[in-house]
Amino acid sequence: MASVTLKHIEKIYPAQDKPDGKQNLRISEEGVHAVEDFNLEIKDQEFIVLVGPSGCGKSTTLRMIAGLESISRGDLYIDGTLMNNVPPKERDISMVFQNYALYPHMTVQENMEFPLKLRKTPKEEIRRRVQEAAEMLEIKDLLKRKPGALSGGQRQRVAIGRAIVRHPKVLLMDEPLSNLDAKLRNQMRAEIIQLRKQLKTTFIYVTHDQTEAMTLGDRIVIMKDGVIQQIGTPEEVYDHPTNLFVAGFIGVPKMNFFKGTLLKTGTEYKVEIEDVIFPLPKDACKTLVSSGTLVQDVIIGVRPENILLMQTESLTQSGSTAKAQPLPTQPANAGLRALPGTADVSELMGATVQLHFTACDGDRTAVIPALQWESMQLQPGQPLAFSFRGSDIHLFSETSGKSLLREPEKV
Amino acid sequence: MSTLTKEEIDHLKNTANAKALQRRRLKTSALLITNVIFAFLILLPLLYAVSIAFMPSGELFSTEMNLLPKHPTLTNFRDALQKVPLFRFVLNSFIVAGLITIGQIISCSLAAFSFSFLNFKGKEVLFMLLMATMMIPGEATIISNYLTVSGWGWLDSYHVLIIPYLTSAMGIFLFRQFYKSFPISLYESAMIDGCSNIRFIFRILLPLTKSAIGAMAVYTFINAWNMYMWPLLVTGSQQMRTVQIGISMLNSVDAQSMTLMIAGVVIIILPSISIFIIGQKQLIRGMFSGAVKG
Repeated sequence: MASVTLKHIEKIYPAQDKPDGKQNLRISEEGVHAVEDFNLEIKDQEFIVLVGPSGCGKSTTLRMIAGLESISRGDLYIDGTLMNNVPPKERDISMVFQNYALYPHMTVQENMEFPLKLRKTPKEEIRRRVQEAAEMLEIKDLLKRKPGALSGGQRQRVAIGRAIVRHPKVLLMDEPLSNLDAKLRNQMRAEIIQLRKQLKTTFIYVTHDQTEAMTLGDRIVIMKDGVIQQIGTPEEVYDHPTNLFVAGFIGVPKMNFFKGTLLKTGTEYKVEIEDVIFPLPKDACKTLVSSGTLVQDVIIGVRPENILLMQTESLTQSGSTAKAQPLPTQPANAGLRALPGTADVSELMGATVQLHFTACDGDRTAVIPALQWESMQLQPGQPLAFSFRGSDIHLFSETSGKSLLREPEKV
Repeated sequence: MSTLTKEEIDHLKNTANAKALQRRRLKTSALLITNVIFAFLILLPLLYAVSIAFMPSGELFSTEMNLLPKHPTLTNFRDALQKVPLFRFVLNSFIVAGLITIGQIISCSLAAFSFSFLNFKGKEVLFMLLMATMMIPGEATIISNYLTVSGWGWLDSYHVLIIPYLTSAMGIFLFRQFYKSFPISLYESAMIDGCSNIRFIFRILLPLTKSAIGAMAVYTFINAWNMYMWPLLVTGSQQMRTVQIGISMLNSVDAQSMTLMIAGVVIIILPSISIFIIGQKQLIRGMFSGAVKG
């Protein structure tokens, strides 16, 4: 129940303590920069997810908020109070660890009572709060057991229970679900969403799993090599990634990237991929005009679910510029230009099929409905044609990797 | 080619099975017999000592080979107890070894805690310095230690036997190794929960490292029980003697009574053997927990 503000937060480790396998981080005379210039304003009761590949500094940032790591530079405020040098126990936060960190010699009940006892809460109040949390997490039957006798999912519930009994201002979670199997992870994810509604506290959640980030967060902070790449709602980061890294990181399967050229005729912009021209929609052109974007080499990103597969009969006759016919299950796309490719393997995911194919000198992925897949009867090695709508195109500068379609004020 | 009947197949199977079983049994029994022989050889001096303790001294000094007493007697034990205040020595040794054990566990676990959980400047250097003291043999410092305590007028007292041994580099090192395998997130979790360091040590760390403490306790107790040089140097009166010195007094009082001395030895090794047997499981688990679990 508090706001958290991070201003120009940095973490610099002495160079000799540099953890192995972190060559990606910037090294200066001061040492290794694990987190660089981290600015974030977290509102009261907001659910913030820090996401990024391992070694990107997300856990370090969380641990700085918790007070487990010292802050090398910058200011951390919780509810307007400067917290840089306040010990963890006085920050009124609680934390759920990846490996649960339950006290193995205490029962579940004692584990949950422990933080309250340390704060000298009256006995009645302790009992009430533990009961309340146990009910919320459905672990009432487990109170007398020791952590060793619990399954992974139950332990994680107890760990969450221990974190919430104190009614902390901020609840920190460090990859809490990554030790669970896939099914349990989905279930716990749903429960965390549920819990969040009941708790009315500020959540800061660290994960490397973009699905968790997308489903849980009000806002997502995407990090790489200690630097924030983008902050935004799940929709924003999915629909308008600021750079190639975010575009590739968010979304499963990964976005397809094609090399191409941005062409301009008057106020009209087009992209050209292997001699096939795709016009860009009007609002994209407007953005490009207003930012004064010039003709240049670009990287075109298209999400797998936006790839449209087409029948190939006509394609084989007259090459890539042939008018490919849309399949009956797709909306009318007549007039779309198509690119050629070769089918590789397909993975049936249930309602959809992930098709891997080779096109434009690279491996590409398309996600198509299973029904359509059946009607196509495409075998590995067979040629195919694909296309996409101009409105589904993400455009990135080839030199800087930054998005060309984001309006300047949003960046 | 003739085909085998079902009976023949069964028969072949059974004989093969029986052979394998027999071979395994043979292996096990060979191993067992070898072990018993070696155990017996190693235990022989001890067993012989127990046997001598029950012999009248005439039997020991005969020309015949006497492994077992022909006329077992308890007089040796009675004489040993009468000659010197053996019970007093045992009591002294218990007090000294017990307090040293408790002291070392407390001081070493606290020191090891700060070496493994806290971050402070010069931690590594300090630890190296501590480890370096392990390389100085005790005999090298014993005289200067003696001069120090005698200067303080501490000679011939309990505290001179106990206080110099209240901590040990070895103990700190052992505990630190145990704590290294302790999950750091438990400490961090306790910190966030609002736990102080002292509380963390007594409520969480110590209960969870019982096996380490057990191993340390047994090791320290036996070492303290067997202490010889230092007690010999700093104690003079019978009131303050520990068993190891007491037993050598049996030697000087009646130089030739071997049986008497051995009876005394048997009395005093009983406590240390029983401590070892009680703590054996803990000791082995503790000594190897770091190595095996990784």
